[in-house]
Amino acid sequence: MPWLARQLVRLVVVLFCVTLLTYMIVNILPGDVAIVILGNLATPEDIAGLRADLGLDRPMLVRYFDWLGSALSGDLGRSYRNGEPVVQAIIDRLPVSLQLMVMAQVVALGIAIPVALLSVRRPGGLFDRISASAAFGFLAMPNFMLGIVLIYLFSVSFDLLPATGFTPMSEGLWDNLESMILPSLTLGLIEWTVLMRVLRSDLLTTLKEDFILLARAKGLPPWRVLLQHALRPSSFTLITILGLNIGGLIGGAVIVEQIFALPGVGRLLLGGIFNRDLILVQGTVAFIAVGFVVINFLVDMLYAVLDPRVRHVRFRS
Amino acid sequence: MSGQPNMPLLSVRNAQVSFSTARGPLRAVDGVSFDLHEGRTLGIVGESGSGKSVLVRSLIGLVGESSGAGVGGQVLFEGRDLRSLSPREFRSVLGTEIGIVFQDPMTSLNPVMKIGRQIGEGLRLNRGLDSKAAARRAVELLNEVGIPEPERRAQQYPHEMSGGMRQRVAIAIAIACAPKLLIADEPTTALDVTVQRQILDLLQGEQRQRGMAMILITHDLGVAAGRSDDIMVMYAGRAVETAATREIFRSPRMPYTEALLRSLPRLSDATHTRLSAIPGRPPDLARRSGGCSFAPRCTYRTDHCDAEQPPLTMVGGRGYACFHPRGVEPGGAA
Ligand SMILES: Nc1ncnc2c1ncn2[C@@H]1O[C@H](COP(=O)(O)OP(=O)(O)OP(=O)(O)O)[C@@H](O)[C@H]1O
Ligand code: SF4
Ligand SMILES: [Mg+2]
Repeated sequence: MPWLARQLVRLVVVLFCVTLLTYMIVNILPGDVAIVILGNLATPEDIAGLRADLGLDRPMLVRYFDWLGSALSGDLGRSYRNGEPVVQAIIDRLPVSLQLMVMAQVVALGIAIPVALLSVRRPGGLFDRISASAAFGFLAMPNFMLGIVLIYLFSVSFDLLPATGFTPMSEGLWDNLESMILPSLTLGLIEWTVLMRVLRSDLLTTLKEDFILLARAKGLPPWRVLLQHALRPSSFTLITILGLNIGGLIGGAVIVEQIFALPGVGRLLLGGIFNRDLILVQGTVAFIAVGFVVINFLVDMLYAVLDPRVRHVRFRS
Repeated sequence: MSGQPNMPLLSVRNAQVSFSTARGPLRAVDGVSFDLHEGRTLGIVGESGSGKSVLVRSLIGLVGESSGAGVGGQVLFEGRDLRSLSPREFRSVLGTEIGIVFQDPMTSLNPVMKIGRQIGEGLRLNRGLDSKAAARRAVELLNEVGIPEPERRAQQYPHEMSGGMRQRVAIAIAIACAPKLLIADEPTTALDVTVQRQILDLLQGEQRQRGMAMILITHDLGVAAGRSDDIMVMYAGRAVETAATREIFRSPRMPYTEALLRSLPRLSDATHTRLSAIPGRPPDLARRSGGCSFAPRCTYRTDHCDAEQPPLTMVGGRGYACFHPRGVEPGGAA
């Protein structure tokens, strides 16, 4: 099957499984949105009436396919709680989450690539050993804890950065960045470790290749050999890990948005769960699933950008 | 030309390379010396594992401390001691004066860089060409090494070419900066039999036309026969016989060389030959004996051979490492 078709099939399968599964899980959660909305003192008749109004009295599968039908036409329904269209709620919060994830990736790659390059210059040397220990330390730290440590260091002790809250870009780029630095560090400082280790090990393999020897024989200085010859052919596992990590990154973002009180999609989702706002949860999860597949698709495209051999195989007529 | 008239272009004295392995130190190259004069070709011949690649790679700094190897001896290039140069000076000699072609063009070209750029890279670095001029020169070089449609090929990646074409590209890279010395490390071993001769002819043609000196490494005496002035036979990391090519073929001294010659088919296409015709296997370099390393496979072996290692003896402009050389001793002459 051509590559593009395979990607599309993957998208459809993932979406179907994920949405059906969430629908089922959300439905067996204890608690009832009607009670949440009406309060504990509501009469059983009131509750039954509201449930009928919301369409909750129909069998689950019927409701699921109903939801799926409108979801496919771009309508994710309206929040049970406040009637806001789910699509609109997501669109409002998406920029915050996207900015968080992009900045976290920048932090992670911005640390991982230079550290890997520096550590392969003398494998087993001082820098290599220190960076390996540092990576191990960060890797062992849960992100909520790292978040709290960072808040303590940068906001409480030195008062350099805001501890929580979000400033939109419209109120000034610097203020906006300031409010995002700690959250992105919280995610990125953990992610760089894995990226650095795989890049380092692939670099070491590449550096033994004949074409590296040939580059050295041309008289290229060591740093040019590393950057111009070794880095690109060593980056394929890194990219695979980037793709695989997207799930973890989204999960991390949900937690980090909570810690730092960022109004992102993750907080929308958690709020929905607490309120038993099924339709909001359902829509948000479906959206995240699409995002996951789309980002993986983009990551997969990167292979083709970086490796002409992949380009050759994929886009042969 | 440069230097004194009789000074060799490359002079190697007592080259040593050892690796530390799990089984102890492994002496891959053990006291090899040779001279190479401008415009001449030295064939280095020996079985797989005899240390040919490690020797030449250590000469140009590709095997060394950075790869965990211990390197010893002296390497003079145009009278300059290469091992005492600063890294920067060394790279500049390497980039401008010495070109190398590796065995396998599948692995010696960067898979994610366009051919033209790989050829032009050295020119930009060492000859100060701008990228346009380097690209133009790369196309000329592709043309020179016999690649049709050079403009189009320069824009391609290595995987879009056949093995023979890739080796032509590797040759173009090696000669790009007009080096005085070309090292070809088994340049045809990985190629189809049909293109082996073309590649060898190309190398020889370039060498003659440009007046380069060449080290041609092969495990096939037949390849070295018509294409080298002198031959150095290596066995277990040592030079065991050195002589002018025609001397070697007329009367080999060392029993190993003799065995190599005997395993050559007389008439047929010499490039087919495998050296497996000699019974036995080369010794384990991590467990050297005190005697001649060829002794276990030698038909002329005596107790003396097991007790002591034969030194490389120079007699009348040629050298051999054997206590019972062929064609010399009254009792041992063939
Ligand atoms: N990095 C290394 N570490 C340990 N031993 C090595 C290393 N590189 C080479 N050797 C050993 O050095 C010896 C000589 O190897 P070398 O590659 O020079 O042989 P060769 O004559 O070029 O053989 P071939 O014809 O197969 O290319 C071999 O025994 C090999 O195992
Ligand atoms: S020294 Fe002895 S064993 Fe070694 S090659 Fe000569 S005759 Fe054979
Ligand atoms: Mg070799």
